[in-house]
Amino acid sequence: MTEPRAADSLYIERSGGFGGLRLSASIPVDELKPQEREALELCFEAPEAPPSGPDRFVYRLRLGDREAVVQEDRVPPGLEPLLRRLAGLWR
Amino acid sequence: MGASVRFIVPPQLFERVARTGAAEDREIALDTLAIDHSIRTARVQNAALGARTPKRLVAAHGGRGNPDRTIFNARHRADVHAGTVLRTEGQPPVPDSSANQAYDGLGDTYRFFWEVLGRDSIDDAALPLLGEVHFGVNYDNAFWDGERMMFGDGDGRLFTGFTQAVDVIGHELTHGVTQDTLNLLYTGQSGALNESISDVFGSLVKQYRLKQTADRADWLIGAGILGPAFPGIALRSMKAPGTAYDGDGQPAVMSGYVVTTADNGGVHINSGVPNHAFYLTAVALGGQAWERAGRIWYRVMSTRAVAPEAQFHTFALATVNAAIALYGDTSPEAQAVASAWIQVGVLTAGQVPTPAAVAT
Repeated sequence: MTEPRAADSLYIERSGGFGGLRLSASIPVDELKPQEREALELCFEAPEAPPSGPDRFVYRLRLGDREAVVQEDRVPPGLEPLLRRLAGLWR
Repeated sequence: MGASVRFIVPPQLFERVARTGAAEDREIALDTLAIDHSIRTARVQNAALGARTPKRLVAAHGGRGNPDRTIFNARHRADVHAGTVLRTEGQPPVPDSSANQAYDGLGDTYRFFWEVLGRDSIDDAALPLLGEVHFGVNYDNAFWDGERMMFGDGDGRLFTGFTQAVDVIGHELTHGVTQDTLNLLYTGQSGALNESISDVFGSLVKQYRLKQTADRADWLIGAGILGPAFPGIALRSMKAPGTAYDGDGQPAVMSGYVVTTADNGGVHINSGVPNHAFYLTAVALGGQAWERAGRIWYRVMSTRAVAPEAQFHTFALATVNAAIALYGDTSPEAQAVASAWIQVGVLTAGQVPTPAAVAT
């Protein structure tokens, strides 16, 4: 499966968890709320953290040529509603 | 804390008696051990938990074969340790079925470690077992956070509640045991070993509860928590890695090792290789898998035979050495372990330790 690199779409991949399932979703940037864009910037600027612990989810976020790997417990609060919205969209 | 208790006899000696001694010796040794539990429990817990939360440091009910369980209600939050208690040790079942499942699963796992391996809880010092149910909203996961076992309810589509399968609960509690023993780094091969050890003992807890022999066990992980939309029969198969669901990418042998940046270097993918090595060992030996294969794997943990950075190859040699130490260098057990790792491509015939190598 190709991973969109377009700058107009945010690609989100979730891996890890007890199940180790690898799921992904894309969302058009213009559907992101202002606080979600702000939280996304925080993720891109933060240094990559070590694993938070066994069986935690790990998110990979990509927008254009920017990418961030975010451990589940380090997701900024502003992004949490977006990740919950994706629950039914994972493929 | 009182300072009047002294170790007149090294506590290790008592522990050895408690684990291997005759029934009467065992009782005496265990009674003695109980006295200094308060000191050692406090020390171990403080180290393990970083004194993050004020809590009782002495096992109030537990130890010596009796678990000390507390099940909390996260009330669908995911940010703090819940304070609402649903069920404590010795209480009868409560209306919340997730709480009862967590309580029972933690009890089954405690009993397995105590009755089979002589280990008294996560830290071998009667650490209270804390579980938290209804974690998050439609949360498709369970995890050990270093202090508590957290269980989501699932989204109802891919997963139902994560307390519904004892192998899942055993898997999570075993992460605590690994943290207390080998403390394997959660990335790459050491992370995959960490995952595999949790699958091994998670599956053994289930087999022990069902009193199954190795050839009768399903060797599946997570079969009991799947929802109607899940495309398979389990999350992992130790018997046939890569076949549990449509898209299962687990390798059974080293040539299929997956190099990836996802999942901290594929820790839930590449665990297929050591999982399969354990399965091959267990079926080669026959009988109940916890009796010999489980004891061999556990010895690597309890003796802290490998470093936190251990790779598959190092761990494989350690299991062969453990089998030799327990059963002898020409034993069927040592041969079965070596053969299993050769079959999955982690060891080659020339690398299997000889008695001389074991002595070093």
